[in-house]
Amino acid sequence: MTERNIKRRDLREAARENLREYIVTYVFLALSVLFVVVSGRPLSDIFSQIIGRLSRNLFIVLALIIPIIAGMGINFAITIGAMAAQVGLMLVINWELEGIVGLLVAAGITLPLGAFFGFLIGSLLNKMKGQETIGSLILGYFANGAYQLLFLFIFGNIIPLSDKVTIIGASGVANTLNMMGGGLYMAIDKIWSLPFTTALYGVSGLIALVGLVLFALKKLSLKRLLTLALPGVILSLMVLLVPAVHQVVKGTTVPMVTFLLVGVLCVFNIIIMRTRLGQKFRAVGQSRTVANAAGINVNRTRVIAIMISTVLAGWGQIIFIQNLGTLQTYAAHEMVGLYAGAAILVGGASLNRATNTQAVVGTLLFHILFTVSQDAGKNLFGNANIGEFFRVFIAYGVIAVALVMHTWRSNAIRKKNSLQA
Amino acid sequence: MKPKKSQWIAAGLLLVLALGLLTAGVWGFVLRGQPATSDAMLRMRNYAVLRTAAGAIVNNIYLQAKLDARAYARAQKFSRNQITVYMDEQGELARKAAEEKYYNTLGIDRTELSLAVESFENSLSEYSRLEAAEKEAYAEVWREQQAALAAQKASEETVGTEDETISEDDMMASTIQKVDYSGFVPSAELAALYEALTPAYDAMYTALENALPDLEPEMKDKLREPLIMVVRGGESGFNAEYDSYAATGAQGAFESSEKTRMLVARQAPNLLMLAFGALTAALSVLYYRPLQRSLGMPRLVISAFFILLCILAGLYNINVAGMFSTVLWRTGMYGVLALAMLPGIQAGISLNMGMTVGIIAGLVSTLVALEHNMTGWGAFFFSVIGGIILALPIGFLYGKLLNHLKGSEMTVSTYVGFSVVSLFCIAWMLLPFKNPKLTWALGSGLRSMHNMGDSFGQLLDDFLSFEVLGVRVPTGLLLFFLLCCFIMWLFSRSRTGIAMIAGGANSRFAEAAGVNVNKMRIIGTTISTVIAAVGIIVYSQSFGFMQLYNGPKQMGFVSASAILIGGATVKRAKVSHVIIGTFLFQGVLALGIQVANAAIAEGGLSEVMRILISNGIILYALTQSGGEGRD
Repeated sequence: MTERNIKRRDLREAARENLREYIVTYVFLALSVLFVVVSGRPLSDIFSQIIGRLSRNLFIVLALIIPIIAGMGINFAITIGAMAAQVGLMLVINWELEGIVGLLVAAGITLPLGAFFGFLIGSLLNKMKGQETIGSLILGYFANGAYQLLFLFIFGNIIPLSDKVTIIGASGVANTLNMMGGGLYMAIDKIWSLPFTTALYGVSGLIALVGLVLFALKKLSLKRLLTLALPGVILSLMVLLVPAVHQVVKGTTVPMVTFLLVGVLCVFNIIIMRTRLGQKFRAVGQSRTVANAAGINVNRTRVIAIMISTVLAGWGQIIFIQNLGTLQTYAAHEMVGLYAGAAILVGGASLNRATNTQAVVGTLLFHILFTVSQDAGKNLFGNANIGEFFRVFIAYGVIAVALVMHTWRSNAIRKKNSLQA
Repeated sequence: MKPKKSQWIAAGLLLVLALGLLTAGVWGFVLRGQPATSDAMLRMRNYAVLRTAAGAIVNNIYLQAKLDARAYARAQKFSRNQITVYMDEQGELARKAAEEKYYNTLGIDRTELSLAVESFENSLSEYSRLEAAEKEAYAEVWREQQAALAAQKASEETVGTEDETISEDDMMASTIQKVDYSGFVPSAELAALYEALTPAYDAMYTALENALPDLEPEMKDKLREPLIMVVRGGESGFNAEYDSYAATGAQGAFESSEKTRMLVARQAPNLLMLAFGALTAALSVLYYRPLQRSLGMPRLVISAFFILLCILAGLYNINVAGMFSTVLWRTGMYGVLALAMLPGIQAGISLNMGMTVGIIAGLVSTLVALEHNMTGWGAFFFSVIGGIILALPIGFLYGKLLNHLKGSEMTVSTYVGFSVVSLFCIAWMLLPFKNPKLTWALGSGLRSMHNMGDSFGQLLDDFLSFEVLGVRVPTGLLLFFLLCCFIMWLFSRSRTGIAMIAGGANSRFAEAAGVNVNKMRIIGTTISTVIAAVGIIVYSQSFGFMQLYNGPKQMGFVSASAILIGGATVKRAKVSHVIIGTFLFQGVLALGIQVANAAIAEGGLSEVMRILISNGIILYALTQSGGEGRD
C-alpha cells in the first residue's frame, strides 16, 4: 500500500467520522438554505433579524456548556434561572429603577437567587444521576407551577406591589410588563451600536493585529494565527469587494456591548476549563467513578456547575428581555430551555461534549430556520401556521434525535466493552 | 414499631380536640330540636324583617341628608371638592343618628308583626317552590349555552403553537360558575302566584308600619323584593335560614348566652366535619410510620390532602353529590389512559411518556369515524378497533427503538412523544379530511376541538348510568375501565405476563432464566401504545370533545402522575395502583378546583396545583429510582 493511499484513506475516514458526528448540523444547514430560498424574503432583512436574534439568544445558549462538560446533559432547568431573572426584572420595574442601573440591579438580584436555586437544582439532580436531562425538564415544569403561585397569589396579595406591575381588580402580577417607559428597553444594546460593516472591519482587524503581535512574540503558532484571523479577514474582504454581499449586510447595526458580553462569556467558558475547577468538571463528566477515586467531591462539583449555569442563564434572560422590551410575565421563561437546548444540539454538541463554537453555530442555524420558517411554510403549503408548527417540531425533533443518537451510541460502546471484558 | 412519646402526646391532643368538636357538634344538633332555638330563630326572623325595613328608612334619611348638605354647600359657594367632602360628612352623621334611632328595635311590640310575617311566609312557600323549579330549568339551559359558547370560542380561535386548548378544568369551572339570571322570564303561572302574594304582603307591611311609624307608604314597592328575600330564608334548612337572617345583622336580637348557642347550632355539621378531620389527623400521627411504610410518602401526603379537601369542601358548603359525580366521571375518563403506563413499567421501560404515539393512533381512527359521519356504538367500536390496529405496528416499532435506548427510555420517550405531537400538529393541517364538520371553515386543516355530541360523545357515560343520592354514576364508563383493568390483570397472570414482569424487574436474572427480555419489552411497549389509543377514545367520548394539536402533549404526564400517586414506582406497578392513583389524583384535582373557587374568587389556583402535584410526584419517583440508569 502506498503512502498516498493510506493518506487518502485516512482523509476519507476523517470525513466520514466528521459527517457522523455533525450529521444533525449538516442536515440543518441544508434545511436552512432550502428554507431561506423558499421563503423568498430579502437576504438583508433576514440578516438583520439574525443579528438581533443572535445578540439576545447567544448568552443563554452558552450558559448550557458547563453542565454538559460536567456530564449532566442538557440543563433544561435553566428556565429556573430565567425565572429568577424575571423576579429581578419585575422588582426593578416595581421600584421604577431606570436604564442600565435598573438592569444591573436586576442582575444583582438574579445572582443570589439563581445561585440558591442552582444549589437546590444541583442537589436534586444528584439524586437522579443518569436521568438529569429528564429530571431538569420536569423540575422546570414544577418550578413553573411554583412561579405561577408566587406571581399570581403571593406577589400583589401577600407581598404588596405598586400599580406599575399589577392590574387593579386582578390578582397578582400583570400578564405583560412594559419596559419601554423606564428606559430599560434596549438599555444594554443602546450603549454602543455600530453598523455591521464598521464592526466587522474593526473586530477582524483587531483580532488580526493581536494575533500578529502574539505571533511575532512567538506565543502563537502560524496555524492558530490563520484559524483565528483568516475568517474575519475573508469576511471583511467579501463585504468590501463583492457588492452583493455588501448589499445584504449594509443596513444592519450591531449592539456592540451585548456581543461583548457574549464574547466575555465565551472567554470565561474557555478560561474556567483551564482552572482546577474546570479540570474537576471535565473529570466528573468523563467518569464519576474515576473522579471520585481521584479525590474529587463529585456531588459538590456537579452542584457548582449547575449553580454557574443557572446564574448565567438568568443574566442571559435579562439580555433577552431588555432586547424585546416587554416581559411576558407568565410565558417568557417557558421556551427558554427548549430553544437553547435545541440550538446547542443543532451546532453538533452532544450530551457530554460542547464547545463555544458549537453553541454559536447552532444558535445561528437554529435561528435562521426560526426566522424564515413561517414564510417558507406559507410558500410551500399555503399556510403560515405550518411554518409555526414546523419550528416547534424542529426544536423537539432535534433534541429527540440527539438523545436517541447519544444513547444508542453509548449503549453500543458499553456492549462492546462488556463483550471484550 | 411503637409510636414515640411525642407522637402519643400530639395524637392525644388531637384526640381531645376531636372529642371536643364532636361534643360541640352533637350538642349543636340537639340544640336545633329545642323550642328555645326555634323561638330564638323566630325572633331573629322578626328582627331581620324589622331591620330590613329600618335599613330602608336609614338609607332614605342618609340620602336626604346628603341632598340637604349639597344644597347648603352650594348656597355657601363651597368648591367642588369641599362639596363632596361636606356631603359625605353630613351623610355619615345623619346615618349614624338614624341607625341609633331605628336599629334599636328591641322595645317594639312584635306580636302583630310576627303573625303577619308568619302568614306571608306561608303564602310565599308555594311561589318559591315553583320559582325554584323554573330557575333550575333555566340554569340548566344557561349552563349548556355557556359550555357550547366556550367550546365554540375555543375551536374558533386560531391555532397557536403553545397555547393550550380548552381544558376540562375550564369546562368544569363553567359548570360551577354563577348563573346569570338576567334573561330569566317567569312563566304566566309563576307571575300569577307572585301577584297572589300581594294581600299577605300588604298585611305584613301594615304591621310593619305600625311597628315603625316612620315607614313611608311609597317605600312599599321598593321593600317588596328585599323582604321576600329575607322571609324566604326559612324555607331551605336551618343553616340557610340562619345565614339569611344573620346577613341583616339579626344576631342583635339575642341575649349574650343565646348568641353562642345559636352559633353552635348553626355550625353543628361543620363541627362534626372538623371532629372527623381531627380524628383522622390524630390517627395518622399515631400510625404515621406503619402508614408511611405501607402507603409510601407521596400516597400518604396525597391521601391526607384528599381528606383535607373533603373537609374543606364540607365547610364551604359545596354540593357533595355533585362533587362525587365529578370525581367518578374524571376517574373513568382518565383511567384507561393511566392504565397505559402499567405494561410499560412492568416490561421495564419505566414511564412510557411516548404513549402519545398511541394517542395519535386513537385520534386518527376517531377522525376517520367522524369523517364518515358514523354515530353511536358503531362509531365507538370502529374507532377503538381502528385505533388498536393502527397502534399495533407503531408500538412494535417504538418498542424496537426503545430496546436500543436502555437506561434512558424515559428521557428519550418524552422527547419522542413531544416531537410526534408537534409533527402531527403539521399533519392535522395537511391530512386530507374533507368533512366540513371537521375542517376549518376558512383555509385548510382540521379544527382543534371537535364536539363529540353528535357522534358518540358520552356514549359510555350514559350507558346504564343511574343516580344514587344525587351522585350520577357513569356505569358504562366505569365498567369499561374496570374491564380493561381486569384484562390487564389476567394478562399479568399469564405466562407471557409473568415473563414480562420478571424481565422488567430484573433483566439479567430473567435472561438467565431463559426469558427473551427484548421481546418482552417490545410486547410491553406495544400493549402500552394500544391501551393509550383506546384510552384517548374513552377520554374524548367522556369529555365530549376531541382535542387535536397540542391537546395530547401533556397526557403522558397526567397518566404517569396518576399511576405514581397510586403507589407505583418507575420499576414496579400493579393494576390496583392505576385504580387508586387515578381516583386520588382526579379526586384531588376535582375537589381542589371547587374548593379553590369557593375559597378565593381568582381562577388559576387549581391549574397551579395540578402542575405542582403532577410534576412533583414524577420528580419524587425519579429520585427514588436510585440514580444510575438501569441496564
